[in-house]
Amino acid sequence: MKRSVGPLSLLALIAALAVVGTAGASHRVNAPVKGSFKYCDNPTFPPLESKTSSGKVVGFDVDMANAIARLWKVKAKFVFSSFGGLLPALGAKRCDVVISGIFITPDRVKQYPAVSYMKTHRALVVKAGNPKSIKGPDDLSGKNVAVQASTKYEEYLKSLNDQFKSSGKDQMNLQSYPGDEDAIAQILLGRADAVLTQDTSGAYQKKKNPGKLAIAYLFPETDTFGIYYRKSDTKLGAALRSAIKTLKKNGTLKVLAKKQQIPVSDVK
Amino acid sequence: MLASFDKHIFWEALTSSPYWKGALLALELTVVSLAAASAIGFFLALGGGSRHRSIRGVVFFYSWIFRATPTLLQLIFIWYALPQLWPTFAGSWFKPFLAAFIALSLNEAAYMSEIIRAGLLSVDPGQELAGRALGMSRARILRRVIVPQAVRIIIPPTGNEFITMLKLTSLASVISLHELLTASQERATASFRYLEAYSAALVYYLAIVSVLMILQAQLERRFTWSSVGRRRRRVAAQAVPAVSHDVR
Amino acid sequence: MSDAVLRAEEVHKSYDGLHVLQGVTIDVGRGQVKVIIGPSGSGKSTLLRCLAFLEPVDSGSVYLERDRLSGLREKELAVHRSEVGMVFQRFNLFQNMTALENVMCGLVEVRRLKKREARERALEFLDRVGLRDKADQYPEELSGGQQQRVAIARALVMRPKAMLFDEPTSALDVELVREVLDVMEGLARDGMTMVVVSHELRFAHSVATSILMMDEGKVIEEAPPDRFFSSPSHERTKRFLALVE
Repeated sequence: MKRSVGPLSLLALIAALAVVGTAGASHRVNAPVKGSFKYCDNPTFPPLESKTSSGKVVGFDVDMANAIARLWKVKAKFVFSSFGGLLPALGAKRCDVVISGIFITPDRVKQYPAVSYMKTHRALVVKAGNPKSIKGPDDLSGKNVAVQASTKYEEYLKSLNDQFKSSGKDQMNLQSYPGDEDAIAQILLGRADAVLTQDTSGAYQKKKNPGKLAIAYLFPETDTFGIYYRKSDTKLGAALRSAIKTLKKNGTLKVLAKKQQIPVSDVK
Repeated sequence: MLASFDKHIFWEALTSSPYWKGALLALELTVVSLAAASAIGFFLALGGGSRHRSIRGVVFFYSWIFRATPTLLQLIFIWYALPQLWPTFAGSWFKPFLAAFIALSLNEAAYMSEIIRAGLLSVDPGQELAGRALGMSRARILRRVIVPQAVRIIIPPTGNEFITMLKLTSLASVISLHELLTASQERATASFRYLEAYSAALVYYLAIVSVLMILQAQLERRFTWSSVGRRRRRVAAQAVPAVSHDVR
Repeated sequence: MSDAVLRAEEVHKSYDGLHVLQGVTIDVGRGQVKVIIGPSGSGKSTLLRCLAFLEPVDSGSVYLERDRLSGLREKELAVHRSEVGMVFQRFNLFQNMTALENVMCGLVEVRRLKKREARERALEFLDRVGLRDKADQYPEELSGGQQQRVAIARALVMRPKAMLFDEPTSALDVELVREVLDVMEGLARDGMTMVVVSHELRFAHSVATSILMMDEGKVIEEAPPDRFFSSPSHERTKRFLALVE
């Protein structure tokens, strides 16, 4: 089926280029990417990212990615990954950035730089009424604890278990699951006593399962969520930094946070 | 740009405790699940040839359910759905290994029953006739004549099933079983050395399968009925084709 | 006929809608050798299997000595089956056992003899059929004639009251037929009660007490060999003999 570039299509092509050209001319934000950028995301961490029952991906991170894209006048394309596969995918160039409720930590930054965008506290989520009286991490000794696999939460709980062992206390029965929601499900099923996750996730799950869950403990230390990019993409990194700054300044992030009932102080 | 391969990191992963413990666990799960599946499958196979239609119906139903649904789904169902029906399944006695064992055995039994049934059918009907003429009961004939001959036919496809089962154990990682795949994922995400971490896991899987292949060859030789030492025999032409379901 | 070893009385049997045996009556006295001939589909093999209690009959009775066994249930029947030896056209030796183990099988599994005793007896019978030196060979390593002789030994070792043979030489190459017939002739001379379905007319002529002609599910003629072959009375017998000779 041959297609010849007739005069009509040529005319249309020129017209399109003209439109693109003039559109860019009004607010020229330096778009570091052409046409679109891909972001890797693991949609199992509401309210930052999750899938609706119809399969659509929604959440704060998705909204923020789209907001950044609007700034640059490009499109943001979602790329699915397991949580443990996010950074490998970035390294393999399956995406340009990682936006997925992932902490900025020293060991990660060594491999891939990141731009921070939100502060958050870790939380221990338990069954409503806190039947096992868990008041803090030390109370986890001897309990059944569920967590999302390959996360920093899991790492922390593992080292906590080592601490318990060396101080002669009972260790936790630790179970790890592909998704954060799978771990929460174990509390609802009665299999786990506690889940270590983020306050954002805890608040969301509490809302979604009214009367069934409670936040037993909020860690005082804060973590920071970041957007990861490859070391070699210095232009992209700079653009991300300025984009986040802009979105914070013009209140966009506040609006998006309010939408998910995330405390606005987290995105100051 | 060729990625570098750090032999030292690879070796460290290969010899680390989570890896060989995970490999051992995977092997353990494979062996017990396949054993249970063969036992269940044997009775299903006998039932499939029963004179009573109701028994044949039950066998057909079982086979249908377990072969038509993905193994992963069955695994997840047992772990998540059962506690919803009966809260006792949320107790700590119901460990991931137990859940995986149940799911994998029940699932695999459906496939093993087909293999065993074909093996039993492949034995010449004259064998049973001769046994009956001597006055042997049907059970005795099965045990002394039919099953030994059927075993020869089912060894190769069963070896295949062992390999499939070994790979299926990695599915149990989603219900929090800490086996080999889990170990490699944890090391990879913690160290960012994906190549070395996953290669080490590959080596373990390869090693287990290779040992299995050697054992299978030895077993096949034992079931070659020949009085002349090492005479190699080809398995009869009506050998059972491997029940193909690698898409699992 | 009270001293009949095997007796079938008005036996009817159908399967798959075919009325295979249409009222067959036959009795075999002690030491008698009855040879059954007839075209294929006449019901000869089926009759033999009914006489061996391998198949139930639809109506009529089958007796072993004085016992009416045809109505018994499977479990009780199994024991009596070992008292009637059966030799098949395709030998049906157990492939996963040596010749010796094949012959021992019935003694160990049915008569519950100790292995050592069973082995001694089995060797004796293998010797009788001239195959003691093949004791440790597997069936697939033996010729057809050898396999059939082992099959005969396997049935004989149970000391059955009667021996049934279903076309024992039909599956053998011509040069191997003689060795089997020799064994069977020896058995007849030793006074074994036998029923043989066969096309080997010379064999029939030399050992049979009487020859039966079967056609379409019925026994249409029975006579001692001389009379049977020289002056058969039935039209169909004459036609069949003309074809076969």
